[in-house]
Amino acid sequence: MNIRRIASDALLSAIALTIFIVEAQIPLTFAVPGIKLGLSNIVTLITMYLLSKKDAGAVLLTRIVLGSVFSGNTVALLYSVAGGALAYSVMCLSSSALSEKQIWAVSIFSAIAHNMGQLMVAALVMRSSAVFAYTPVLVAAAIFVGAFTGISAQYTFLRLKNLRLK
Amino acid sequence: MKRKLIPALCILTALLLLPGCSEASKSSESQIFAMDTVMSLTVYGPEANAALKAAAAKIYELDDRLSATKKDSEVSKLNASAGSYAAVSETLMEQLKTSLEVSKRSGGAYDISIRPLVSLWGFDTSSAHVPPASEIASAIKLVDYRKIELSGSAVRLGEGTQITLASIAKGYTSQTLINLFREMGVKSAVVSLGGNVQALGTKPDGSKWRVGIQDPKNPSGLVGILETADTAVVTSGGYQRYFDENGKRYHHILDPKTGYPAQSGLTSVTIVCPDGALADALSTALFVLGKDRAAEYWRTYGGFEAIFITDDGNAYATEGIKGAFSLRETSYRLGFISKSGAGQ
Amino acid sequence: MKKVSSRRLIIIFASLLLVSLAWMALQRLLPRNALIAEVYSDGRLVHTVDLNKVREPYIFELPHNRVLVEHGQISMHEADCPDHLCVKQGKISGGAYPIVCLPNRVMIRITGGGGVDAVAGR
Repeated sequence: MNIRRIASDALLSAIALTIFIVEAQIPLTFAVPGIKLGLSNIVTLITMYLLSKKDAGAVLLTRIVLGSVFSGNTVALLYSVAGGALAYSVMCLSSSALSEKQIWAVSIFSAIAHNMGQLMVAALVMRSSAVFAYTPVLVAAAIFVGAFTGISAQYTFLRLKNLRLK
Repeated sequence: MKRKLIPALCILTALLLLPGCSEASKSSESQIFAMDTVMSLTVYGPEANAALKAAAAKIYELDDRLSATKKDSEVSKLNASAGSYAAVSETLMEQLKTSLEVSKRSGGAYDISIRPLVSLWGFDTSSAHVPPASEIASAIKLVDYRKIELSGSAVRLGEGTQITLASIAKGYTSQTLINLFREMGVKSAVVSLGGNVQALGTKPDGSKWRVGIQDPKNPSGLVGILETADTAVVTSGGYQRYFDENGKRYHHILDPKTGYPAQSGLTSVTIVCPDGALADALSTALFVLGKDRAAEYWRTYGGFEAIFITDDGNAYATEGIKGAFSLRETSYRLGFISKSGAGQ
Repeated sequence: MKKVSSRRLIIIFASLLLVSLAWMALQRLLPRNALIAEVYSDGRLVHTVDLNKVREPYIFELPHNRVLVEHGQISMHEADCPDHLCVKQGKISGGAYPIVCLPNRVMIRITGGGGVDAVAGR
């Protein structure tokens, strides 16, 4: 772990956090209460490809913890952890199977996983499987949002890949 | 792979949309306030509206004729004629016959001449209270079903004998409605007259009706669900109507022998029987008898099934009902009563 | 190491999207997960509401009764009947059992009554 790497991780965490907080201002509670768009995944994705999976995990964790501290919302933490954990796992798995020109696809897969994680937490919090009725809505939304964040990440990555971040 | 994918998707989507095409038969419902309770009638089929109209008229008619508290009712007129023979309608006669049969078979645990006692306690008004023991003792003397004599289409009540059909009228009414619906060509209907449920046929799609049995411990919950067709389901229980005085609870099902609310160890009895009037009478009779004597009654005469909920939180069902009854509230343990008398 | 073609990926996502949209269409067609409460006065239906869609609690007024409608539950808030059994019954959010104010002939019930067609009891 050299200083350059630490600084890069910190920088990326800050960006992720900013996106997260701004995104949290967008009220999505008409669908499932507590659900989030997941735009800060752009950063997680970029980190994974520019640095490593471990760095991506670290940045994600930092963003989740500080994000809930700054927004002061404990329930939101639960959603973030569930969504983030699943998104991260799927991200790791699919990035191994796909090329670096297919970041957009990895993004969609992890966006779907992210939303499903949030849905599962919602079901637990409300002690009812009724929320799963939202599954198709969230899958469709994940495909769109995932494509958007994925393409953003894809372009950013291609431009930045020659940066010496580590 | 791409070529096969699109048709596969089309089939998948079609399959997903298919369940949406299930057809539900049209039903008509009405709510009626009569006989001191609320009644819900649900009828399926093209004759539904006509049937409901006819049903409402019939309910009001029977209420007027059978209420012991209405001065011009047939029952009141019969009560006023105590001591001499009076001609009664077929409607009244049928209920008298059924009541007397249950009275004989239950050894007097069921007795429609209990009116003096009911009035004494004030259960037929909104101010019930505990009467003095001496008054109860004198009232009991007037309670005796054997003083009701039937002769042809006439009835003679003994001196001082007064009857009330409150414990059989709703069941008789539900049976009358079912017969009426059948005559009008209705194939599928279910009525709930203040908790007296009776069903005609099955549901339009052929499946059985699902009748919930109220949980005495939790009035908005169910003990279990009964799947049935073409039967009446009637529950009697102390928890339905009672008053508290001096810290004690007094419920409305009086024991004709003691003059006090029946303490038979039962919280509720549910009778499942094709005859609505009989189901109604039996539910009161068996409640007073208590589980063991009720089981004996069932073994001797049959013609119905029963579910008992005891004061100690257990549920017992006569074995004929196995398979049709499923427990929903898991705080009850279900036992079965067999024909042979073994195992309780 | 291009193991999976981008074309294939697009197909997978497009299919998923299609299925999701079809599923959503189906959900719109089949009315589900609605908790419909009905208030009857004198046998006439005077108010229907899907309790699951209620955001702010409100009172439904009748000449002799007041019904409190909340998210997921409904109850008789006030009544001028002598015994107040209807008010004591509390809130219902299901079950086939209605709240009834006999003297004023008001009934509140929830349809789709918990999987049963009728309840034997009182």
